[in-house]
Amino acid sequence: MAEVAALFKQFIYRDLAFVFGGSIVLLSLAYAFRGCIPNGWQNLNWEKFPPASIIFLIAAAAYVIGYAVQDVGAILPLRLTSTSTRFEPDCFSQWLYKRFSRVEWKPIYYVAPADREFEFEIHMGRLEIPEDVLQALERIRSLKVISMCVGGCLALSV
Amino acid sequence: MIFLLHLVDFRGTVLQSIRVSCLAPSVTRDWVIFSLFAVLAFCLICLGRIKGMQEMQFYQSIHKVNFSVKQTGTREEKDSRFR
Repeated sequence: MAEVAALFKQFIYRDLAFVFGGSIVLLSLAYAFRGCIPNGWQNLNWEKFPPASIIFLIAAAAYVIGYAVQDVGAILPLRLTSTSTRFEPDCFSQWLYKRFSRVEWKPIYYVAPADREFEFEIHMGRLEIPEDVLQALERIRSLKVISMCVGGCLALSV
Repeated sequence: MIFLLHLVDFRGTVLQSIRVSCLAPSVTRDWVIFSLFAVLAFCLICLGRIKGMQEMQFYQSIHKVNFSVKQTGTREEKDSRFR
């Protein structure tokens, strides 16, 4: 049970954002095409399918859609939903950052080519970083992924 | 050419049938949903960018503090623990 809890803490709760975002897209599609469901589908006997399997299938489809929306949005020219930590923020983003954290944006230098392995060292736990700091970093990263995924899915649903 | 015209006509008919059957019963409700989703999407994407920037500053701070690498010991030391 402890292992499941640890797994949930590390991975699954972040993946739930993909399921949630994908569900938004699926629901908006269902809403937009509510009058266009073919007659064959309406006559389907849904009681034949166990509810658990239907829920699992919808959740899996939602996960794939959420994941695809977030990552494809990061590839498209505007890179709206990019979760990369290597970008030069524009003036608007810098202004937002200042409003949000009340601290001026400072140019970063850890992304120099020689420091490419720096992030990996943190991820691999090779540095003597206190646990609290790593947890705070993990929380920021999770919130970023959740925001980008759900935001991208909402934008697509619009 | 006739085939192309048929295609255009067919496409037009299909699009028209979809458009008519998919008309929303309440335009106001659709506008509310549209506005809500648009505002939420914008806010969430902005927040995501802010979190990304926070993460970069976090890495920067960690880099600045220059934490030492964990001492994992040499191969001989590890082996001696199991003896």
